[in-house]
Amino acid sequence: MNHEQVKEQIELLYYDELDRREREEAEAHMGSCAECRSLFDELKKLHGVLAQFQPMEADEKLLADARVGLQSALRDERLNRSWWERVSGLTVGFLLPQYRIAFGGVATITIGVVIGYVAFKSPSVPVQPPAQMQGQQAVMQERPALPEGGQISNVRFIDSDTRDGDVEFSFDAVMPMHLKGKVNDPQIQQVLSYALLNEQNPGVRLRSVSAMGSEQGVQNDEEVKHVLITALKSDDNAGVRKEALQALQKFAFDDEIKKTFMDVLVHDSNSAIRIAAINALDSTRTKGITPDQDLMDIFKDKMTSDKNPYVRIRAKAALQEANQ
Amino acid sequence: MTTLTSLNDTDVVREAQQGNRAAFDELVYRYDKQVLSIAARYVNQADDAKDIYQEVFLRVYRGLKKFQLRSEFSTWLYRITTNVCLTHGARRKKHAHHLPDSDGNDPEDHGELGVSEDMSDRHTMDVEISSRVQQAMNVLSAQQKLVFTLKHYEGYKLREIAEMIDCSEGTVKKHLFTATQRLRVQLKDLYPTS
Repeated sequence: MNHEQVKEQIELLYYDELDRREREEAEAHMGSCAECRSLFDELKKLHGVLAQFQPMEADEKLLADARVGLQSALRDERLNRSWWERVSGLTVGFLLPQYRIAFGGVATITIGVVIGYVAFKSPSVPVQPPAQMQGQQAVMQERPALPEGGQISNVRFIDSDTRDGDVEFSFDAVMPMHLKGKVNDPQIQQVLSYALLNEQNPGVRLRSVSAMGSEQGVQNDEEVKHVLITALKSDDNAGVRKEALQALQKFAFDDEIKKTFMDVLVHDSNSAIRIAAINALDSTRTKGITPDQDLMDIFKDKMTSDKNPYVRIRAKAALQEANQ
Repeated sequence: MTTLTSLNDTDVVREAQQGNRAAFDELVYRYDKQVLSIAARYVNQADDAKDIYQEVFLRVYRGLKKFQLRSEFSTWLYRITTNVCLTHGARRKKHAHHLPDSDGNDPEDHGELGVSEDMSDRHTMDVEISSRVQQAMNVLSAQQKLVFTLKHYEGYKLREIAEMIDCSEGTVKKHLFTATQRLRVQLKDLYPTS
């Protein structure tokens, strides 16, 4: 390796990206080349400065926040998708041979009516706004009305440059509403679900999950179940997660709930929640559900490897009871 | 029956493709910390990092049924992550405001990144240096910054980075060298040179 080649490879040497032969050659060259040695030293100094800046790390709090946000976004995505699938399903249904002729006829008449309306409607005389108002009106027509009594928050500037006379921003307009109804009312449950997944205040989330998990609230509704599963897996507040776990115990014990409890037992960072998950899984025996091999394996693993001694003891007890 | 946690990625992906929500969650659990770590270190801002994280997994969710397992799931996921980081950078640039700092200096005027002379407090000095490094990082192009972040802060090998951003190892080296060169120019007054 000659001088120029080594100069090019110095950074790779620093990052340990050279193979053994290249590294040995570069090091041998540097032993006798002051310029390359100096370049390498300068690189080390640069990295010393860079080390003083540590960009933010993804800590547990940020991860928990991100997971909650993701679960909420996924839920919206699923709702949108199921709506679209229903529409697509209807369309496909219409295109079945027995509906095709009727559908074609209706479509032809509709198109004809629209063409006739556009072609023969009386021409309206457009009112021309003054030239200087035209641009302004175009924006006004697109502008949504602000809700009366609503609060404006979270203003974010998109264009704050006033040189062209315009500014542009987005914001949230929050309209206060009041709702009272039965806990199992779908609209009430929708608000509770939203609060549980999106509210910043853990107290509000806790009250939401308590209401959803009350005797009246649990109606084996699939959407409610999924919201509770999401909260149990993702909420950063252990109290909310525990309440969600207790609420889920009131649902019919199915494969999805079982997998969720097993996931929680494996992944949750809070030992009290892991113990609650063991209790929940163990209690299914009283309902005549025999623990399967997967569950036994997880109990075995927790019995030996969980960092919390009480979780280990509880897992061992659950395993012994399951083996009886 | 086997647990999702005991399955390899390919099998979990197949489960998720069949509509198994728990399988999709398992994939998220396996990789989301790395995705968030890359995003956080790339944008150095919590809300933007969460935006990137969410966009990545929404794209995975939307594209999973079409994913044909020709590559590893992790390769596909990291490719999406780097794409979202790069497009996020472009979006930010498009909407970036040239807000002057408290002294009225334009932060994009990178010729004026000097340390004030009267600083005696070590902590203040560290903050200043940290701010200088951050500004110097922001001068890099999106690709250079991403390659540098993945190499310097995340410790990936060049070969892995090339796979993640779907380009040759030579291109990655070029971005890394240019990034280092530009950082050297921006920060040379912060360390003694021979």
